[in-house]
Amino acid sequence: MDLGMLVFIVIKILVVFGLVMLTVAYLTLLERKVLAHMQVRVGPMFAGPHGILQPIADGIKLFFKEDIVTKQADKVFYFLAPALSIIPVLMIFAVIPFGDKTTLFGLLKEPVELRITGLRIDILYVFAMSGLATYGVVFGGWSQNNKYALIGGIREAAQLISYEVAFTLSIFGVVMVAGTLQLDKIVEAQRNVWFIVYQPVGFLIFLTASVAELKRTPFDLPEAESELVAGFHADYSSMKFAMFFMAEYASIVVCSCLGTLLFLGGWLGPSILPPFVWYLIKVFVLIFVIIWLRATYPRLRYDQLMKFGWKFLIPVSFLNIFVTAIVILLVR
Amino acid sequence: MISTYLAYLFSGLAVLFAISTILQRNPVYSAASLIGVMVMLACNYVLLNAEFIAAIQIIVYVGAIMVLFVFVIMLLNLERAKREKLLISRRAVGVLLGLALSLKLAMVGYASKILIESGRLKIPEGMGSTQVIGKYLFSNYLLPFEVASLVLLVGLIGAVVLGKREAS
Repeated sequence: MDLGMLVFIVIKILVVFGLVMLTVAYLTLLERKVLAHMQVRVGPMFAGPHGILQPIADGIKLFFKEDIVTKQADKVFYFLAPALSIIPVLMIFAVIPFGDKTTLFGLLKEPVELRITGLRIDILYVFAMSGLATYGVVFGGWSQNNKYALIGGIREAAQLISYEVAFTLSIFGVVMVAGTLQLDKIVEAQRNVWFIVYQPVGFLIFLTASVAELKRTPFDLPEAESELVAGFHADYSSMKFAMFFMAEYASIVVCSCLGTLLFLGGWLGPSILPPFVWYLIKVFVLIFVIIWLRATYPRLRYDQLMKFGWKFLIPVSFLNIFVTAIVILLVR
Repeated sequence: MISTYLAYLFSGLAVLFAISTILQRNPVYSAASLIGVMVMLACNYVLLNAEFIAAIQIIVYVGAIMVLFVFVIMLLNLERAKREKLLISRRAVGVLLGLALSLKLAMVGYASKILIESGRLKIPEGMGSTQVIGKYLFSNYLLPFEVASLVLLVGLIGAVVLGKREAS
């Protein structure tokens, strides 16, 4: 590998990282604004026009806050947990494509892929990393030696085991139709028809299970404010607290990107707009839907959550795979 | 070249994590060390061009089984385990089983090396890719595959039976 390639890869990583972090910062503002307007409020208004500088102000505030480590905390995991929660999520972006092959308006001689790298098993890699992301919350909840945080961590572990099954199974329908695990090839397979048409049930399961994996209302039991005083991150402050939130918002971006790539045709669209813009529009529609859900539904009770996951979502996703397999066999 | 050094690094870390798994007194630290072992093994699979096995290793062991382990440890809120004096006979059994397992693994490794070098065991084209593994699981190795799933089913039913009995 020569130096030029290495520099090129580092540039790609830095661009993706910067874009993701910027999106994550402004998602907090987007969420607050959308929720505010849905509840007939105005949201943050003072930092810049219409609160446009609020994420920067929040960032500076969190950075200079006192970093509290409680006396009873388990020091090793208390420090490790925030990193464990954000690193796997950022690692998923290594395989997420952001558009078709491009020459950047003729700047480059050969077309490059708009992604850091591609694997033969993109989708399995995404599952593996999202499985690792569990431990940040679980160990974080345990390390504080605080009963609310511990309950939050336990709930997170149980919830993720339950909904990861449905999440995985919902994507297998798409994999079966496309016949590949590579994300760019899955998008190419949707050139005629988006997979949401072939897999409507799969898309609904995917959306539901994603919201559960993201620990957002109506599935936000690990951090239920009204009963667990913020659950797994109750004792965290300053940048460690911010890292949990960055991980959560970065996961929202990951799930929206995956939904776009797998079900909504990725960057494909009428050529009036460049592919990257189509991709962004679809991603932000999904992000908006996820925020919208938070403004709409109340939190589930814990037994309802478990019953819904095991007795409804998982059987339906198995049925979806079964029907998909039969249809594929009949058509071919 | 660099992959050889990486393989030694990952294997060394795997051994260190494995030792830490049995030496830690705090069960959560033990579980975390075991997670480290699994991740390091997955890294070694990647170096062997077996991305599929590596991903499955992480999804199944780290993403599912170890989450359950940690969940149970946290649910029972296990305190630091007291270091119990093990009986000599139990220790002897443990050492014997460990030695037997190591011998078995060494034998399998050595035998397959001989078989591959003499050309009697052919590695199929593109082994490690998802398609090839899938085809082999559902054709040549269908019986072992089905038997393994039956064993898992038996375990599942056993767990349900035991859980139900305790409740009634």
